[in-house]
Amino acid sequence: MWSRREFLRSCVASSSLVAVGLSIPRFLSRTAAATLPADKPGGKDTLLVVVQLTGGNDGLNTVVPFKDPLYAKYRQALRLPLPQLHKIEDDVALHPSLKGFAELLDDGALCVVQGVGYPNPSQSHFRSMDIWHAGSMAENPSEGWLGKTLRQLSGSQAFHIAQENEEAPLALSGSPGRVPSLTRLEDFRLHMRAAHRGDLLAQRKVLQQASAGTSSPGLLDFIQRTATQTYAQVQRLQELAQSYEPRVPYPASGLAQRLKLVAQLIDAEVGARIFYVSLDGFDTHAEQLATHGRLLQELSDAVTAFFKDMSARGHRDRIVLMTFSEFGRRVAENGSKGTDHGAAAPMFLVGGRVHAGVVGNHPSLADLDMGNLKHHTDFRQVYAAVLDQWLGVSSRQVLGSAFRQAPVLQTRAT
Amino acid sequence: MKPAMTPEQAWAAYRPSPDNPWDTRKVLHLYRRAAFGATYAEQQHALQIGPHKAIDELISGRPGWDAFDREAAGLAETIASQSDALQMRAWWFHCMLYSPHPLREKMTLFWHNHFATSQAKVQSVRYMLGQNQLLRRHALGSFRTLLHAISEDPAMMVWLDTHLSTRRQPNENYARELMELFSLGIGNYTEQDIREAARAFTGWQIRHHRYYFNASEHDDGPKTVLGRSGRFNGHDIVDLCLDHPAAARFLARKLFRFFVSEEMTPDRELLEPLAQKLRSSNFDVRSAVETILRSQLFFAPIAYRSRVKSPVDFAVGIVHALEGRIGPTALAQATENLGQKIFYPPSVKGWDGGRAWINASTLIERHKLALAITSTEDSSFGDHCDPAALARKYQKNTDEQALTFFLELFLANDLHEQGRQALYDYLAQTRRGSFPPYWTDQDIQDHRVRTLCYLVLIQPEFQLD
Amino acid sequence: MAKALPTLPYSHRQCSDSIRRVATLSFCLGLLCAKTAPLPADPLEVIPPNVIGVVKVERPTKLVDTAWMLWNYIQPASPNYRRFQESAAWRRVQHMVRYVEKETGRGWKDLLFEVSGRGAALVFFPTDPVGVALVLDGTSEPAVQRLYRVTIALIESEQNRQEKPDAKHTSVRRGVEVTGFGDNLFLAAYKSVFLVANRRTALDDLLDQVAGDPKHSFAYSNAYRQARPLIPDGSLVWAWQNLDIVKRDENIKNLLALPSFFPPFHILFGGLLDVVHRSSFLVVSASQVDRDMVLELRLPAGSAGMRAPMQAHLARAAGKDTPLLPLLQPEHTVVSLSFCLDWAQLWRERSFLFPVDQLKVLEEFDKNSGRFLFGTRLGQLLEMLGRRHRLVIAYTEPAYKRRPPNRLPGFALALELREPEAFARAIEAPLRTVGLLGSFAVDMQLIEEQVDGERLIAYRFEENDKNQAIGDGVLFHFTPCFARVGNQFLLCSDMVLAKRLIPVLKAPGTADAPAGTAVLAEFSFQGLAKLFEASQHYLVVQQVLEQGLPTQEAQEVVLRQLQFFSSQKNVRMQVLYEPHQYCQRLVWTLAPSVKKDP
Repeated sequence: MWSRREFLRSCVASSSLVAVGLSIPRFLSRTAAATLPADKPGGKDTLLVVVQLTGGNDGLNTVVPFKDPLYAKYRQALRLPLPQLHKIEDDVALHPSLKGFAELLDDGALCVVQGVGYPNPSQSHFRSMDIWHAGSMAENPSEGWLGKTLRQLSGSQAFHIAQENEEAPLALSGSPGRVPSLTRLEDFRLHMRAAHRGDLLAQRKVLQQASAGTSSPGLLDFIQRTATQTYAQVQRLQELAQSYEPRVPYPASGLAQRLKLVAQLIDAEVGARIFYVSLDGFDTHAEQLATHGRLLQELSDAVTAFFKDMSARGHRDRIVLMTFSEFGRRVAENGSKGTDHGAAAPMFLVGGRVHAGVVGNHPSLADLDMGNLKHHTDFRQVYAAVLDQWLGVSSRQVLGSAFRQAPVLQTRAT
Repeated sequence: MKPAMTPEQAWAAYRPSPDNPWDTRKVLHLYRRAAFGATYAEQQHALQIGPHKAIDELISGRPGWDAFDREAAGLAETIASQSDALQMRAWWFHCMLYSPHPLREKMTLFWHNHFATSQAKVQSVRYMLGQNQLLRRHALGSFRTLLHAISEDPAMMVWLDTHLSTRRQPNENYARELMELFSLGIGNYTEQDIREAARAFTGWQIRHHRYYFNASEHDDGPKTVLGRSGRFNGHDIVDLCLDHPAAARFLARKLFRFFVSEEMTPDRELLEPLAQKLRSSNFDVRSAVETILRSQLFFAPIAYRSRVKSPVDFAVGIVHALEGRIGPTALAQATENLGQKIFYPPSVKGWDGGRAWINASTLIERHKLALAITSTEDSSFGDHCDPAALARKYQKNTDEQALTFFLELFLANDLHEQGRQALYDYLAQTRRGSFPPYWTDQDIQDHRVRTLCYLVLIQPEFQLD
Repeated sequence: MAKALPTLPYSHRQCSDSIRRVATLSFCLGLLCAKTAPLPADPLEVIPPNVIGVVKVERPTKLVDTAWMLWNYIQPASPNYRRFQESAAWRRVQHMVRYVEKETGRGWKDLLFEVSGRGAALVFFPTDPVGVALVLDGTSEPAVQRLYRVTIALIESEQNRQEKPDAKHTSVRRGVEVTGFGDNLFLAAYKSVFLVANRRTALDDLLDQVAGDPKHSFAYSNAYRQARPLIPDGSLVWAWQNLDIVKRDENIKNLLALPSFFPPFHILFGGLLDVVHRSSFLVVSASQVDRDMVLELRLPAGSAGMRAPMQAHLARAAGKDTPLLPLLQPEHTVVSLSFCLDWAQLWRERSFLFPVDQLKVLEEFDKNSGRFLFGTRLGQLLEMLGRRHRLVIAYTEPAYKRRPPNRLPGFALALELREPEAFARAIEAPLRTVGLLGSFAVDMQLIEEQVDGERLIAYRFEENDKNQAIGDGVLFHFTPCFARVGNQFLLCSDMVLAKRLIPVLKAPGTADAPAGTAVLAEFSFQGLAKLFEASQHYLVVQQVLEQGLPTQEAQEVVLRQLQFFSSQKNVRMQVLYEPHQYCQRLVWTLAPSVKKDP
């Protein structure tokens, strides 16, 4: 693993990349600041990683009100075995697969928000996903809540870590610059078509020369600086792709690999503060038990590895990772050992500065809305807390109106 | 920042003089702003006929533009009936690439950004194409006529919810954006103005794909808007907005940003003559654009390379200068990666433009696109946009000639000495080397010329407009 | 009227001239260089017996000739054909061929013969990921050795262009040099055999077999012995695939099992699925017989031993052949299909077809179906249906003044009835009710007409703005209608088409096809051309937007495509169940204007 200093030295030595002192990009000239904890909520270095659970996660079997006799009544084929549950409060427990999450909770790094949803819940995947992405109930939204956030976070980028052929999420649209979708680190490189090795090297030399201008401040200088910065990032990321050694092993799962890529980008300090990844497959209409267990296992193991790796690199207090799904699932299971689309469900927040523990009660199984759980916390209250307290942008501007912040983050005297 | 000239001097017509000659730099500057760049032949032609005639030609378009229009309208009708959104985007690229009236296409792009409407919400290819044709029709016409027409445009009515606005529950969306983004700008109206104006647009609906006035849903009561009272309808509101002194200034400012500079914020004094021109001509856009293009200010150093090329300008500009024929579909898809998906602006404010076009990711995508177009080996772009063939066409056969040719074609020779030297070194270093054994001398030469062209296109200077 | 194809009798006893010639030649060559192990007479002798798939080209030069002829033949239909001829990629290929010719001192055709005169094969190994290897069995050792060197030089120069080239490495196996690039490309040349593989293990297996006893090769394996009779003599290329290994896959196993986890699949393709279920391999071959290009799929199981419900797909009931009905071919037919499918049998034996839970739902549905089918239950309705049905898709003239910009074809389904009177009585009321319900959503009128003495009931949509607004006028493609004609029930999307078909349906007759033929189909280029002609605008738009052609040039391209299609005849398909063999054959007859040899 390279230290920042080694990296700087190698850049200076190997090329004319930073030959011009003036154009050393901000992230290179910044000292160890990045590894320091955010000095206050909303500090400039805070990061947000959003994990989307696509398809509608069965919240009731994720955060389980195991003592409630109604749980046993509604869930017969899908009832989770009591001894294997991870108890987190007197009457709620985590799914057996969420062992990693239970450990994070012990470590003070997990917040479980129960009963999250929104009024008049839609049970269409598309419509409900749009609502969560837009952070509003508007019809056919064209802007997302993170896109609007990026407008306020001028100068910072976001990354969508995509599965093959996954489209950029609506949540990120509306940002001032394009948000890149990366599938692998190799996507983030300069393209050349060379006839032979010498040709390749000669082309690269021209590229480096091109970014090293001598102009006075202005647009041209801005482009040159961006180019210098980009080439340095590219070089750093390509090296990282080969040399990044996680402090803890990541599982082989798709989500874990995507989060590992997030970790690499965070560690390379590419100037991004928002990352977006998703995990598909939660639409469990039939034979749910095994599938759901496997998915939660993938989620828990991947997120835990990611957080441990990041903590070991000193980013523990800079990170909030937040999970959401477009809706929960019906309380009563269906005839195919699965569940149909529902409404309210829990969200998880992981990070060194989250409010550790459970927020809100489990929605009542006795008071349902057409067979679905009722929400007590609007998801925009969680967004509002993350926006105002964590990223330091006005949630009112992003969400269109003021929402009471859900108590999901530590409130610190500053 | 302020240009070192008075407003009168600034808007006075530029006349070539020995110390301020009509040269390649000025020709390309004009063609970058008022068209999508120039071919080598266009450049030579403009140099010869001088600025006055060159601007005449740009303003009225080359002969045959009306025939091209008719043909394009036929294609558009087919696309609308197929409801194919990707084809819709490709179709506009077809127009921008090959229309004999590029300034009108450029202005259509200006209006698309001004009245930014997105298919993401409208969800109708027919409406979006209809709006696009409307913008094109009035691109260089009267802003007053356009503002009236756009208020009744089905795509706009869906986009800003006019069609859902009822007497009992007026929707303020259109009234607000009409004042804030389309005609006056923030600070020139009150929230009360918006509330009252919204009532005037009630009962505006869509029936059988057309604007339809539903009198029973229209609020015919008296309203007070921008200090005037009456039983106003929507068209009265449009006129009230345009009669407000801020309207001409607002449009003048936007035109300034589009044609002159994104970097400089002009003061009111500088804009006033242009605003006055708009008022006195009843918002004739053609004469305002003409005033700008002919002005000293337009050709002053302050305007030179003071905008970032938009992705569309970048992509269309390369293909146009290389005299290539490229499938517009591939171009439409590629510019999306560069950050500009036409017909899908990110919000009603349009694209931020300027420095927001450039970040690490879009810069990499610009490299990728420039390579894909010039390499002739990318299947979606094909090989009918070949820098090597172009160099041969103009008999630029030696390395020296090719280098000068492409620097002039794309950069008006603006590259600094180090950059030019680096390109020269590239050519020198690749004269020999272990090329694939089956390549002919011609293959090798073509490869070097194409790579040279690519390396010119990724220069920071080329990212500027 | 469709003409069925005669079946070609293939047998392994008839050995083609070419093979005999090659065998003799290799024997002579073998005598000449008898000092070491004999050279393989056939690339199959280089292949170990445990492979999962083999593609064999008997005479690569002939295949290249035919491919080149076909390429030139279809060029006019390809939108950017002139562009391809001028393209850099094509020039590159030509330069590369010329380079190889220069380096080896042979014209490419001679070279091709020298390096693959005894045949070529593509081999698939049962590894994960699948190992794939190319075997060229040449007639000239020096030529093969030269090709090996030149290929390596070419790969090296291409690698040299990459940012991260794969490292070149050499090693030795069984005394033969193996050159590798990274982990995914390996080459070797043993005497006159040229080998390329994507996995080291694959190449090693081949080299081991080359050095070993040919009697233990694939050429002498049981698998090949069984497959041989199914491979037509003189085929240009054939492929053999081991199905036992494929069927080990859980998904494939589920797909083939009965009851079916997705019954519609078995209802449509059950015959083939059943044959696959009972076969341990399949053979696909391509050959040219005069102007016919023939593609065949053969499996070593047929009608004998077919599982009960799947017999519904056979043209044989209760030991009796039921010849297919003739293809319906009204003017501008695009696709016509005549097939066997015994709905009554499928229904009677539904418990073998549907899994328990679906069966329960189905029974329930059947019990209640009487309510909306006005007394007759679904099962009864199905039992009234016969075994032989026909489907036709044809271009028809627009029936309305309002015209959508492109033209959807009309289609018609003619079902054979076992109990015509009862079926017609039972179905009419439900169909009319559907029409009535539809009229709440769209404006339409009911028309009853006598056609050739039969009663045709049709619906016509009103040409108003309300209907126009539905899907941009999509309704104006259709005048849905139905009629009972003798023992046939006709469902049709277009009145004009129905009127043309009714007289044909009354005529008796059977298709001219061998006994056991279960499906006959014909695809007509001329019908397609007619359809394209009606959607020309759209094709022109595609050309303009995808190829970047000026509008006029795009129109010319489209016209050329249309001309090509209208000069073509048809492609015919036939499915034949013999007791112990399944044969599906696709035949494309080239237009006579084309010379056989370029």
